[in-house]
Amino acid sequence: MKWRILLALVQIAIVAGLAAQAQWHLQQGTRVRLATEPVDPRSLFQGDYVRLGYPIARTAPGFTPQPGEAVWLTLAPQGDVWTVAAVTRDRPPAPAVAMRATFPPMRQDRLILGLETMFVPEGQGLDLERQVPGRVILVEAAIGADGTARPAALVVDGQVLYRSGLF
Amino acid sequence: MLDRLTQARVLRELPRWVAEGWVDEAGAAAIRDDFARRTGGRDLVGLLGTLGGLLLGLGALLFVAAHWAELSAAARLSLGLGALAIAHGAAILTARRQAGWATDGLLLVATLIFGADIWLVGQIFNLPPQPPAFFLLWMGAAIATAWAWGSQASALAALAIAIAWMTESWGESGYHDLGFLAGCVVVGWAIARHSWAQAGQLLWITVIVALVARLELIDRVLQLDTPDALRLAIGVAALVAAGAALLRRPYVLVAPLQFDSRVILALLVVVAGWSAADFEPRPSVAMLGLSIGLAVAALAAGYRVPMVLGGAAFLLVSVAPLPAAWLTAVAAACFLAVLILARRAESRLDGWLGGLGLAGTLGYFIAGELLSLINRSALLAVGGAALLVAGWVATRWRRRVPS
Repeated sequence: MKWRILLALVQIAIVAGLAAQAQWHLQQGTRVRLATEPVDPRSLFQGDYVRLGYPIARTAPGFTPQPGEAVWLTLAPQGDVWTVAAVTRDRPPAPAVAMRATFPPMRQDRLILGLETMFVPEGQGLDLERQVPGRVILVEAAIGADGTARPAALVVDGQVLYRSGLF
Repeated sequence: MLDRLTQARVLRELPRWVAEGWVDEAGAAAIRDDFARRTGGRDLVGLLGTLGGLLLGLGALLFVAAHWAELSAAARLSLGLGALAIAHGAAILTARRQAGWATDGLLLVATLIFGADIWLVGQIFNLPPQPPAFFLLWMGAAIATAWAWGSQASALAALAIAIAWMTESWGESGYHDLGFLAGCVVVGWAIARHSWAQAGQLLWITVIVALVARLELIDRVLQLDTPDALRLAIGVAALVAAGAALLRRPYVLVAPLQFDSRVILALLVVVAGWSAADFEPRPSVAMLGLSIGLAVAALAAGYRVPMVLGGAAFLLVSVAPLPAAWLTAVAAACFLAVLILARRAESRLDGWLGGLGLAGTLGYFIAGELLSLINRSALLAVGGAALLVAGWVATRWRRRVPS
């Protein structure tokens, strides 16, 4: 019976650990705001989400990557929005703000940033997807020490609409 | 307990053993009774418990999936963790009372809640949807539960997760393939250790699906254009031949044809349930497929009259463009008809349980018509709880009325 109780505790610890690690990433990561465009919603397991595309995911001109290759995007602010200043195979030296991105296995024309989904309250995904002229949608990303980016907030016309995390 | 094939062989041999004087008539009758009892009620009660747990767990899964606008993220996570602790605690309590079917059902619930919890974390922190690592983690938890508890339901869940994982990410990298294979080997080991016939059959199905998926990958890499049916036939034939050669037992060649139809029935219900969730408007292909599948499975399982009639009625209801109130009335009529007809079934217990199982499934789909008014997850939870109660009632009833 001791092993069975231990199994229950381990399972609870795994879920709590996943949440703690993700929360730590949000708390400690460098915050940047990136221009985005909603693409497509819905996850059977998790409910409504907006699938997000990024102009910076298409900014690796002249790069001929291996399938699944990871690259570093050095970011620089342009007003409220951060854009890509350089794409390199090696990590740029500090204090540059840089995030890791990977090419998908079968494609070379866009990068996966790890910021492609944002979960929203049930039924609101389609509203966000509708193209409203003049509306500016940004994603605030938290970039961790290892260069991994995670969505921290969805900002619409300067207002934070949804936030990631427990608090 | 002997598997169905061995039981069939023993039953075929029994008359000769009696004629030779090795076994007397009373002994032969006792063996027949024992086989009938084991393959009758217990498996069905187990299946009901498993199905109930599955529905309850799915309810929890979808409940987590729905966004709880009024709860904070921290509260949602606390609820998820609490539900996981409660499911494990309840399993430990029922195990102490030696309610095996309830323990198995609760462990399945715990396994599914674990999955729901890790996806909830994904939702709260906006992690990429359905990442393969989540499936690996989930399958690992299911395997650990199956191993630690000797829980066949959790082994079945592990295999179902493996199938889901494959359809999401099979062939993307060696890491995924190796994880899948390692999972199947561990589950296979547990199945062999505990002689779990139904999980063994699902393992067969999983491996066939994997093989077919692998063939699809080879097709894609080599840019062939093999039709799906041919690919499936090649996969199944290769698997059966390999299994027969490995085990050097000729009957393995026909083993895939000897699947317990209740396993197929359970799979059909679950798969169609998932599919139907995304099909609009009715009648949908999934509904139609499920109805035909139910009727075929009912025939094969020996429920005959009640299940076939129930299946036919279900088919009618599925395709009929009736308003929700009418559908509910027809469902109630079907339920009563099934229960009345079940009394005339060869085995009363099978008839009742078959009727209850069908009614539960039917009720779930009919109630699905009212989804605009009622939360889907609550429905699943209620349906699952009803099946669990039905299993408990049937177990108590069976003690008094021999099958």
